[in-house]
Amino acid sequence: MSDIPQGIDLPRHRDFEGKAAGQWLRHGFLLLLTLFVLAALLNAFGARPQTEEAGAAAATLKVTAPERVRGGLLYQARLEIHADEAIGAPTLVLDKGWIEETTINTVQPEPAQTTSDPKHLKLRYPPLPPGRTLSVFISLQANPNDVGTHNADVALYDAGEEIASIDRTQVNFP
Amino acid sequence: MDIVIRAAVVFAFLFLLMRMLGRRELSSMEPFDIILLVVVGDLVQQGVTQSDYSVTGALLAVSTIALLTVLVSWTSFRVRKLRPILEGEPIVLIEDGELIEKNLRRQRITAEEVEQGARLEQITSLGEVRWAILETNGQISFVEKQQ
Repeated sequence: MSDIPQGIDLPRHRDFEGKAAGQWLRHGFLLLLTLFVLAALLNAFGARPQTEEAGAAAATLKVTAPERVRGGLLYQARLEIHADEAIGAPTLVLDKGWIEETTINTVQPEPAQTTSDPKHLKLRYPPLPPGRTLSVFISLQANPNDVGTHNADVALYDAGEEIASIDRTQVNFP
Repeated sequence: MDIVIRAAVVFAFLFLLMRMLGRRELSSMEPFDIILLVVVGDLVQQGVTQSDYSVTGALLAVSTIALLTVLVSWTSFRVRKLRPILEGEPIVLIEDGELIEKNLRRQRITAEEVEQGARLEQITSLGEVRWAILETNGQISFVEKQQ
């Protein structure tokens, strides 16, 4: 009578016969985990801010904000308008991707007037003389339920006339 | 609905992680492992419930995880072919007093750890061991040589 413990199949449990794929699978999974973490270090899942700029004769618009955020994350957007010519009613027009399923904690400085239409949020500021820069800081939090890609364009208007715009896409991770 | 999906995703990820990490990491509970367990639990909880502080949310998350645990267990019980995938298989570490090095290496187990396991079973020398088997729960079982 064999003294091999019951339930033990030596070729399988000692010599790993027919189990080579399992070992490769394990290595593959660990490699995937490593890549996942490396991708996070390289900002694949946010939330390092990127700066984009659009210029025109009258003004330059600059946006610094993360393009990838995760649910629940607190982050900040900085929008800068540098006026080369006088702007009577500088208005920042944000796509609804900025606000849909997102909590806006503060907007500093507060706009003189805030309006909206179904697709945009419009922040109008007092007149900007030539050579001046207006920096607007928006503190945001991504709602955890919001997952996917959103248009988060920003445009600068002066009394209904577009001066500059930046096309942006924001990706929200779960 | 999203809390059920989040709980299921986290369950699947943790299940895969536990199966792929190697069972020794899971069974040996050194003080650092206990701390790590608490930290992982806390991190997972935040991912599952996020800003939902409701009792309904907690019940949903726990129910989802409980149901999936039963499902895995039931599948393992009913489908014999899936059992090695879902639960793993025993691995022979010692045969006739001799350590099987490639199997130890495969599971990242040192000879000292096997010796420690043997001491816990009142076995003074690995030479007395006929079989040592790493079980699916991460514990090492020892069968002594017949006198």
